[in-house]
Amino acid sequence: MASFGVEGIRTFANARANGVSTASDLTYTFNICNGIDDKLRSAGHMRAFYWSERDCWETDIRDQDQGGDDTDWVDNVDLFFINTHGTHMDDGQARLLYDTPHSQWRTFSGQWQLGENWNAEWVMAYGCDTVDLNNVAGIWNIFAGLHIYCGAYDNMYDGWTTEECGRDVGQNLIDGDVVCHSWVDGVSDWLVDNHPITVCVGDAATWNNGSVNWTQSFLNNDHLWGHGTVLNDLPPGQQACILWYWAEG
Amino acid sequence: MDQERFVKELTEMVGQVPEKVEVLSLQQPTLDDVERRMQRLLGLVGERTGTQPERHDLVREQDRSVFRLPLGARLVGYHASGAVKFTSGLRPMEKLIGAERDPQELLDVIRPVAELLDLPSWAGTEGELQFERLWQIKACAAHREGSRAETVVCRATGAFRHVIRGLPVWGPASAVVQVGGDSAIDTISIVTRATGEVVDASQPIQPAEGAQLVVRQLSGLIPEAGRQFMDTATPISFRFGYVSLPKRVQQRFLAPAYVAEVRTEGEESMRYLAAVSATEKEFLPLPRVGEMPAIAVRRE
Repeated sequence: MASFGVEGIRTFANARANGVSTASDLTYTFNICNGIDDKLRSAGHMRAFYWSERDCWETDIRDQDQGGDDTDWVDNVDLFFINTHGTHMDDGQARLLYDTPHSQWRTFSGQWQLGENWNAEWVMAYGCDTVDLNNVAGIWNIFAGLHIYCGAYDNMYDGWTTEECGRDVGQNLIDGDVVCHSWVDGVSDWLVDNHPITVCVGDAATWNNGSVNWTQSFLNNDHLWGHGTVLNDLPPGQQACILWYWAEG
Repeated sequence: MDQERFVKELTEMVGQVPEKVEVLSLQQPTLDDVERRMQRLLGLVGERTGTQPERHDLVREQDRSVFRLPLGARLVGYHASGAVKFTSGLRPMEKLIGAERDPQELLDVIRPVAELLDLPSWAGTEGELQFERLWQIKACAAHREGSRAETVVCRATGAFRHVIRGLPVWGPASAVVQVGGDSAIDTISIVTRATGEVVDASQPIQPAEGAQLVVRQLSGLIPEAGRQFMDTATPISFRFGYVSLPKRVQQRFLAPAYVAEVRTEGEESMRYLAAVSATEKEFLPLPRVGEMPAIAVRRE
């Protein structure tokens, strides 16, 4: 069975009051976070942590070598799910906003390194635009054994048609769908454009001189633990390519 | 953007609003109704997908019934809404469509599957399912040295909208047909609620009034004094129609509403979808508000 952690930030009053961001509050954060939490626990998976609001800290995902505490939190669970505001930097780094500076207001994916000798296989970020579709390799450094990053390449939506997204992603996972499909299908209502994307790395055999062996990839094979196959970690020294899968309309 | 301009821009986006609209009751499906719908959908796609067994396992869970089918497929029916969803069990990188192509070619792939489903029969006597939007799922890859593979189209997805008495039912797509290469069916979902009698008929509130309600709802997203949600917000769309609640939610009425899509700008942007009642009397619990966290233990 898998272990998982959830973080959800619905209000950003502290960030606004401190002039950090003009970001508005969200409304359905805990419908989404409670949904995936409920579904995964219903199948016997172990919740390691579920933090909310100002109890969510950027150090939870920042690599220990960068002064963070990921070995106790995000890199200590198989699956991490977060709902907050996001964006990406000019160099393609993902960036997420917190409502408390512990110790920074934002996390930058240049400081993530997930899956090393630790647990993290899948990170899911329900927040806007954390992947630059024109520079997906901007998040390559996070794959230190991590299998798949699930995020968005433009705005995501907060509204009544997406409030079941967390529950749908969780249900797909425990129904035995691969992680990649679980995310794209689960966060898509096919009314609004939620811009879902999943990203993974592959070895030279997967790259296959540019004639990609898609069926060998994490995208095609990785299930949540206990619900199907999970490929072995791919250490940085064996990573030859980065692969991404997205929905657009 | 100041509030007055925001309301004006929203109002100008709405198009024609009928002078009189009806509120319809919705039939709450029984467990048998839901499972009949599941059986019907399986009958339509089972042979084509090779998932039509002589007998299949039926599992009743808290909020849904599930048929476990061959080849990793499943068919789900949601008790609250009667929504049904077929998932073939195809892996995402199997049965690829191939190189990028003209959208019309993808629509040509979707159309026969939509016909197989007999979509009009799912729309009720007073409704229809109209094609709304083509979606595509694609994949690409890049080598560490920088070279890039050709983008492949994995799935073509047709979204259809339930229209009742001339009014669209806003919510998640009312029907979704997702197809892979060789016209392989990947996913089908249908969320059409069965309507009953007319329970009310009245003149809808004016679009400007609806836009004001949207402003009031969204203003709560920046509650502190000295700042306003509208300062960073831009209207994207404003639509009139019925509203369908999520598939796991029971709904007693189909009532008219204004639906606004708004984008906030700034270092962290977001899109919001807000629905407000378009009648003086509110028939639906709009807006539904978020729940509190599952655990409220403070972090040390």
